[in-house]
Amino acid sequence: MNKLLPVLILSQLVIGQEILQHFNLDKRNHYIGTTTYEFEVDDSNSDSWTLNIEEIKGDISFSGEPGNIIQITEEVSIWASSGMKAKSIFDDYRARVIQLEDVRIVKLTGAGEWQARSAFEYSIIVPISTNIGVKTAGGDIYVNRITGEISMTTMGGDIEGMHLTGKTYARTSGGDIEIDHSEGILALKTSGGDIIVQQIAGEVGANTSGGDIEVESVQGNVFVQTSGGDLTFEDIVGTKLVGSTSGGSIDANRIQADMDVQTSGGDIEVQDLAGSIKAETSGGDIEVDDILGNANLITDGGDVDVDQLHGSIRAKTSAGNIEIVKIWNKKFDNHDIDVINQYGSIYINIPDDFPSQINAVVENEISSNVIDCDFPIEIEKRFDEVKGKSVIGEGTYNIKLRTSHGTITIEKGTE
Amino acid sequence: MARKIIIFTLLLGVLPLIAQNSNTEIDQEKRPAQVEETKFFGDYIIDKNDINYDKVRIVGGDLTVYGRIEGQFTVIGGDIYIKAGSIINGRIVAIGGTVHKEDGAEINGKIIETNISKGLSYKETNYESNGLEGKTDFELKERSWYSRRSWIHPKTSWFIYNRNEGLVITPFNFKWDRRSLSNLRLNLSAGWRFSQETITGRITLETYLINRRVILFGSGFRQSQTDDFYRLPELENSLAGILGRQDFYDRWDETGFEGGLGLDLNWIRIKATYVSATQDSIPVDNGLWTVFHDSRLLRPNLPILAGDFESARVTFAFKPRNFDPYNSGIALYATGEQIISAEAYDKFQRFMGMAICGLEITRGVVIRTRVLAGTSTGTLPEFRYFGVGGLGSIAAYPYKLQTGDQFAQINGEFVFAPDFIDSDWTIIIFADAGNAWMRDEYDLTDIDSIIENGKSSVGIGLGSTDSDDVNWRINIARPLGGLDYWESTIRINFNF
Repeated sequence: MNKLLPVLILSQLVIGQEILQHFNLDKRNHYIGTTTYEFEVDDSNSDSWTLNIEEIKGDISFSGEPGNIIQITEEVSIWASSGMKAKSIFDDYRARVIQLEDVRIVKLTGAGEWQARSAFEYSIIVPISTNIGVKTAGGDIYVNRITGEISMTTMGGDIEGMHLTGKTYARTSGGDIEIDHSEGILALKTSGGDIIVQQIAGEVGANTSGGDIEVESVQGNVFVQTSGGDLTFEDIVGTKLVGSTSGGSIDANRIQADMDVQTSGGDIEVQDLAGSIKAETSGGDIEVDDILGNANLITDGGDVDVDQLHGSIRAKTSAGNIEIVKIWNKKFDNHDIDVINQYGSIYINIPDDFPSQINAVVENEISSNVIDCDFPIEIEKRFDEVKGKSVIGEGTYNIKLRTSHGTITIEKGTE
Repeated sequence: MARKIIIFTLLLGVLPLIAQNSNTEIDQEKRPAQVEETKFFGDYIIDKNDINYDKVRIVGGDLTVYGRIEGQFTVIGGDIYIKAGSIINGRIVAIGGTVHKEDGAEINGKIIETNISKGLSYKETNYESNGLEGKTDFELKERSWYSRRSWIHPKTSWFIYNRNEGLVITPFNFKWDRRSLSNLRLNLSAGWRFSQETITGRITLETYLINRRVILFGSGFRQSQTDDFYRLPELENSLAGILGRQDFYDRWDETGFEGGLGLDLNWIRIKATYVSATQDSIPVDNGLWTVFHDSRLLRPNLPILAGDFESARVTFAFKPRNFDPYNSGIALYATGEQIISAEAYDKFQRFMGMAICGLEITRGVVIRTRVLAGTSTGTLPEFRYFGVGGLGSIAAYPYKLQTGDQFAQINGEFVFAPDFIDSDWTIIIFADAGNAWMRDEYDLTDIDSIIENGKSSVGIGLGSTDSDDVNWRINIARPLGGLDYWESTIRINFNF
């Protein structure tokens, strides 16, 4: 306590009394100017209205409502030393709204330039079928319950959308994007944030220059790319899932689509895949578990671990171990196994009645023990490599195993 | 796969168009069903042989037409280029862009152009008739920090520690003014003096008039008073008390009420107050707890003359908002007091003025000067004497080595700021001089006598500093005039 008390006192020094201190305080008051536009739009024909917003800055939220009312509320916060100055700023910098009946466009235009001591916020209610085009120089965008087409761009803020059923284009130069419970086509791009997409029925395209991408519960094709983050996929039902990251890991779970994923520096982990997979990493492990399809797995430096593989596989690593547990699912035609390991061991586990021809090669080794096979195998030793050949049953499928500076183990499985 | 990613990236901007049909092979005899679509942030070109029947909105992109338009294009935020040889049978609407039409283009349909940024040029629809009037509200949401803090009733530090009051905790610092929006404000500060086991505090009612330039106020109070406030901030004095059993203020108790007028002219403030109160001494608490130097003797009180009194006090302060110790600037402070009546002593007038000047001679090097002067008329009671010597006055000399009813003091320092040192350190070379004397000895204008009888010292300080404040500083000073010793002091504020 003796030492604590002086510390508490020191913490108070920042508000220490000084005879002239009060002069230093900020003299700007906070004023708020609010303008509300509310009007009906003609809904006598099926053409949707378009709300076009540009030259604004600040957070903006859109909410779709049944009916034909558009309500736009602009709230301007101004910090000024007097009400007169603040009102002058408000009048100069508030947005203007025009309605063009014949082309069914409502246009909201901001001042295009802003006072340093001002902040803007917009709250907009539109008919749910309205098309929305918005460009903001800085601020978050939130959209809820819109069936029209949406294009939203912010130079610095987050974008969040829910219950969108048209085509949606979202772009931010410095924030996260999150779209939930929506349908249609999503094209999402951020230069510096994460992208989260959940509960989507439609096509998803997402690109970020510096963040993670999470895609969850999507019924449709998925195309994503990040220059510096992780990719996470879960509960995807589509025909294609394409993902690329320049510096992160890839994690996928419960996927019904053909996967094509690539990372320049991270691990790839896939579980419960109904589809084929092509996975490539420049430096990491690849782990695939329970795959109803064919696999093409390449790593420049890491292990490859495949469990419950129902289709064919081509696996390659430059340095690491490769382990494969094969299921002979007769629904698939191709069950070939082609494994190349440039430095490490290979382990495969195949059913004991799996009709195949095994060709195993271990380079830079001379001991016959480097090939360990549960099936009868013919071993041939050369001066710098060991070869093993075996035919199981009718030898229908090719099993090619090649490694250097390692061992090859072939075990009988139960299935 | 990399190629797919590149293709995908290119597709990002045009995904909404993936369902678009090419028009290049449309049989002109069979007009196709009209397709409605919106294209975002990409340019759209109708080639020479293309015929477009669709209803297309282009947002944030340009439209260039070499071919034929039978449908309708709405271009929002982009320009339209109608090239020679093109045929417009349908309709083109440009919102926020410009239409560039070359000679040789055949316009049978409509082109509607509106470009707000270049003034009104909407050709088919009158802008004014489409401009909407909103309902506007404008209000003051919250007053500034400046307005929310009262300078008539400043917030009392929650922690005060000194040789008279001991520990003073002031947990209640309230103000009520309808969240700063009212022109009436009620302030309350209430605490507890542990040494005397008494309440201390102040309650003030303020009303702001004439655009908050004029303040009328009335206060009831029981608080300690001091004339030594200029030496160091109260919290630094409290720290000196708890760490080193030192107290650089002489104080007494005042209980009563006051009322007056404040004038706020942004850089200038004037406060005029009528006070009716009772003065009394606050006994020294020799049991004052301290971390170090627990055997140090506490300075006794000055002889306080207890009793009721009435006085008029006027305070003047001037300080530009951007005044700061590391830049050029000037701040002024003056206070005067007229005793109207007093039970224990005769009427007197007491005046004190202070000027602080800074001159940045080059970036990061500032010459700072503080000049103080005090004078009085009548018979000043001893507890209201001016004093020089000690911390906040003339370094290296004992506290109030000289006292009198007149005084003059000057402090100067060369400040080498972090900007100049190129680190977080500040180096200060300082000099202090001053003199306190009785009026019958010589006048305030007798500079020769003041210099002859004055005391002076020099010193150097080294401090750690951030951009906003001094974190701490070690001063080493020695007196001039034959005395040969050094005195070190730790400060956590600027010297002045």
